[in-house]
Amino acid sequence: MASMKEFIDRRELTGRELLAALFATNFTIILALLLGVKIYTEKDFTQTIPAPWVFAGIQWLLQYVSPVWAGVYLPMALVLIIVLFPYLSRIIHRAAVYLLWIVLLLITALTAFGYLVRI
Amino acid sequence: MPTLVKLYLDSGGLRSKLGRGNKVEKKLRSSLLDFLTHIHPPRINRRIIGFWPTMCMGGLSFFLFIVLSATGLLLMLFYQPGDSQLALASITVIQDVIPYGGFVRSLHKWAGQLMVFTVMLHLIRVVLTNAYRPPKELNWVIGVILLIFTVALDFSGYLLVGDVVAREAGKIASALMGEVPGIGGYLQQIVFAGNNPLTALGGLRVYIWHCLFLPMLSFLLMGWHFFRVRKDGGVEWPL
Repeated sequence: MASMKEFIDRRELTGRELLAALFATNFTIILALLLGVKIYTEKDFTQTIPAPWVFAGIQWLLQYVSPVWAGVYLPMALVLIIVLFPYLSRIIHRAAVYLLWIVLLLITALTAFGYLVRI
Repeated sequence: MPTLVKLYLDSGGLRSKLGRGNKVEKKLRSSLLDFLTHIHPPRINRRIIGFWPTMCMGGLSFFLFIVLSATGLLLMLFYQPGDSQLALASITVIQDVIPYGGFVRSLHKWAGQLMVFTVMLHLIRVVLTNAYRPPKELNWVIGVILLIFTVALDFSGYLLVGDVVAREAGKIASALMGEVPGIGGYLQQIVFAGNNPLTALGGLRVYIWHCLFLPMLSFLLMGWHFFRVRKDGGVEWPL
C-alpha cells in the first residue's frame, strides 16, 4: 500500500498530462481572445519601428555598438557559454554556475531594458 | 483536479475497449497510441509529478508546439508566400475575411510567444534543479539548440506577416547576417535567398524555413530530447 501511494503508473500520468494540456489550451485561447493580433502600418509609429520583444536588447545595443559586435559576436559568445555550460561546470564547478547566471541575467536585463525604452 | 483524473481513469483512460488478449487490440496497442503511452516511464514517483521540480515547462512547451502545428496548418491553407505585399494581402484576408481566421492567427501568435517564454523558463528550471549534471550534458546541448530553433521559428513567423515591422525586422536580420565574418554572404543566400528577404524568393525561403525545415528539425530533436530524458534516468528529485 505504501508503494501505491509513493508511485503512480503511466496511465495516471497521461491523464494528468491531458488535464494540464486542457488547462493550457484554455489559457492560450483566453490570451488569444483578450490580446488579439494586429497588422502594423507606418502610421502606428512615429520614430523607431520596434523589433520583436526577443530581440529588443539587440535593437537597443545597435544604437551604441557596431552591428558586428551587437548582432554577431556578443549573441554568439553568450549562446556559446550557455551551450558549453555543463562541460564548463565539470572544469570550473561553482564558477561556471555563477557565469551562467550572469549570462542569463544579462540577457534578461538587456531584453527587458530594450523593451521598456523602445518607442 | 484529482476528481477529474479519477473520472478519466474510470472511463478507461487510453486503454482500448476491445478487451485484453484480443488480436485486434494488440495491433491497435502497438500503434501510435501505444507509442504515446510508452514514451512515459512505467511508474513515476508521486512527489516529482507536481508543480515542482519540473514546473511543467518542458511538457507545456511541447504541447504549445502541437497547438502551433495545428493552427499553423490551418493558416497555411490561406497564406500566400512571396514578396511582402502578397504575404500581407493574404494575412489581411485571413484576418478579416476567413471565418475565425483572426482568432486562429491570434492563437498561433500567442501560443508562439508563450512557447518562447516556457522554453526559456524550462532552461532556468533545469539550472535550478541541477538537471544538467552528468550524464545529462548532451541533453542540455540538444535543449539549447531547441531553444535557438524556437526563437528562429518565432522570428521567421514574425517576418512572414509582411507588415511594416516584419519588413524592417527582415532588413535588419539580413544586414546582421551579412556581418558574420567570412560566411555572411552564404548565410544570407541560405536563409533569405539573397540579401533581401522582401523579394518573392526571399519570402518563399523564409516560409519554407518556418513551415518545413525548422519545425521538422525541432520535432526530430524533441524526440531525441525526450528519449534522452528517459535514458539519462528520467525526471529526478533535485540533487
